[in-house]
Amino acid sequence: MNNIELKAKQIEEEFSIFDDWMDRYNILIDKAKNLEPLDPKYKTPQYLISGCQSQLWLFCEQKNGRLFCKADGDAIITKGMAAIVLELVNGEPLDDIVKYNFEVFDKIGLHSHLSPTRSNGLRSLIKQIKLYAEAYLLKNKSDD
Amino acid sequence: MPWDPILFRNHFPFFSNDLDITYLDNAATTQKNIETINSLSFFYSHFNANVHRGAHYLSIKATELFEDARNKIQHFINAKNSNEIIFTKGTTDAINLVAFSYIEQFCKSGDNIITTPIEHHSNFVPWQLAAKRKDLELRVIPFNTNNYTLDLEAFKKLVDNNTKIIAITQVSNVLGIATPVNEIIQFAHSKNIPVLLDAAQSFPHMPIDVQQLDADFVSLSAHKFYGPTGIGILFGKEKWLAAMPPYQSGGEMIDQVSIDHTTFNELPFKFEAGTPNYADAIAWGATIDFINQCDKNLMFGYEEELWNYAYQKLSSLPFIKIFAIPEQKHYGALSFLLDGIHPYDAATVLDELKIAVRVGHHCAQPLMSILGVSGTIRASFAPYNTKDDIDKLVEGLKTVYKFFNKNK
Ligand SMILES: Cc1ncc(COP(=O)(O)O)c(C=O)c1O
Repeated sequence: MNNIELKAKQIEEEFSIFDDWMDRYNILIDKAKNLEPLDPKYKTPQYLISGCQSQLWLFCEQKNGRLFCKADGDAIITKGMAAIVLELVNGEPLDDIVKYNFEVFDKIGLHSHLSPTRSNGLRSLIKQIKLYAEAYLLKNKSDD
Repeated sequence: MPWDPILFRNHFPFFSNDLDITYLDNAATTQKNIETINSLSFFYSHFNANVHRGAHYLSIKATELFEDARNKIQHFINAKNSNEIIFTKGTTDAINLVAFSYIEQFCKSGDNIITTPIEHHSNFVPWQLAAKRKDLELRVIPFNTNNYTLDLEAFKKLVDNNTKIIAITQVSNVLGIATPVNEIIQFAHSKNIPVLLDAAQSFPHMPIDVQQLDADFVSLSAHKFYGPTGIGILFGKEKWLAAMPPYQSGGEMIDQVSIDHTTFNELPFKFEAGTPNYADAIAWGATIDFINQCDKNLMFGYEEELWNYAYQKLSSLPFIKIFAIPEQKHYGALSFLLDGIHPYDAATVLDELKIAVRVGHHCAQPLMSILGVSGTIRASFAPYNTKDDIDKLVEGLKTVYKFFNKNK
């Protein structure tokens, strides 16, 4: 089990105590509030992940083959979901991120938020993070 | 006798499934009455055969039923002739037909099209694309956000000798208000300019008489008024339709085809290329029969009563902003926002409470931008909704507000 999978397991446990939807959303809102802020200079169209119903902004960089992301969002529930994504990927090796498929959202009963019809930008956020990871992987290979 | 929403609701099997859903998203699509569902099933089970093709009994029968449906919708909107009724996939398809065929025939570089900023994208983007394709100008009638009216004086100044068509919605899908179509049509006709009315949202909420309106084109969808999905019409005055080239080509719409030339079938078939959606058209006929049995004055009156009740209840919430001027008459839709709560968050919690409303820009981004918001929450009503549904919405909104405020 790699580090992402370990963290996913912890998140699962965190949610498993509750089966009431209100409590699950409470966790998300807490996570949204504790998310490290994104410098406003990145809240521009270039960093926008557009969902039809809510917006997210994402900034990613790599340090020593590991990915570091920051994000913000206008809807707090979506932002909480983004916080989970970042919690999982931040500081992790690029190839682990490329391989991971975020089944954790299934396990914590929030999978419907990832459906393409939700159009909250979350799916696009995950896709974009993976693209960053792939792009850095490629770049690192050609730098070798 | 007052309108009885429960009696009416009993015609809709969706509500007898114990889903326990408060369905307030009728402007997106309505539920279907049993007569419509049965008609579709009965047709497929007993009469299915392709229309306008064979000489065999079933094909003739199916063709008869299909053309009956055309006549029913013709009479429902009081069109002069059934050849003015073109079956389409719905409103969007109907508008695209005009934005292609009419523009192809009547517009040249430098001409202009007039629309409004409160349109559904369906009645905005096709014109924008047509304008790009043919080098036309798209002009937009200013909408005053203080009194929610279109500026008719400004409209008159926008019209000039190069104005070739005016495309305008009859009822806004976001604000639920009607536009001054009579004034617009009258002025346009004084300059010989045709007018297209997007009746997607008016059709379910007011009587439509195309001759009285004197509209040149009218687009509407069956599914927003208890009918099946995937079927709608373009009404067009014969004089325009006859002069317009076909939109799509293929089977059914041709008269003679030789290697180097094709002549086209007569109206309305010229615009119905390929196998039409005859089964849904026939079921739509059953929908129309059903609606005709209802007292439409009572039905539309009840809808207004529901809207007013909702406005009164919602406006008593201290944390709401409603996008409406109560003195105006409303048709179905009511848009609002909760203070400090993103509409997506509100909808997520409402969904947990099994209340179905729509959030987002409602495919009307130009309107969102002049209202200065990224989206709204929209509740929209049908005559099977009850005051109890609205009370549930109000309770739901209180829960939403408490939930996010405790979490502030
Ligand atoms: C005003 C208006 N125009 C057009 C449409 C498009 O209708 P359809 O999706 O049935 O083609 C809608 C539907 O939401 C609408 O509300």
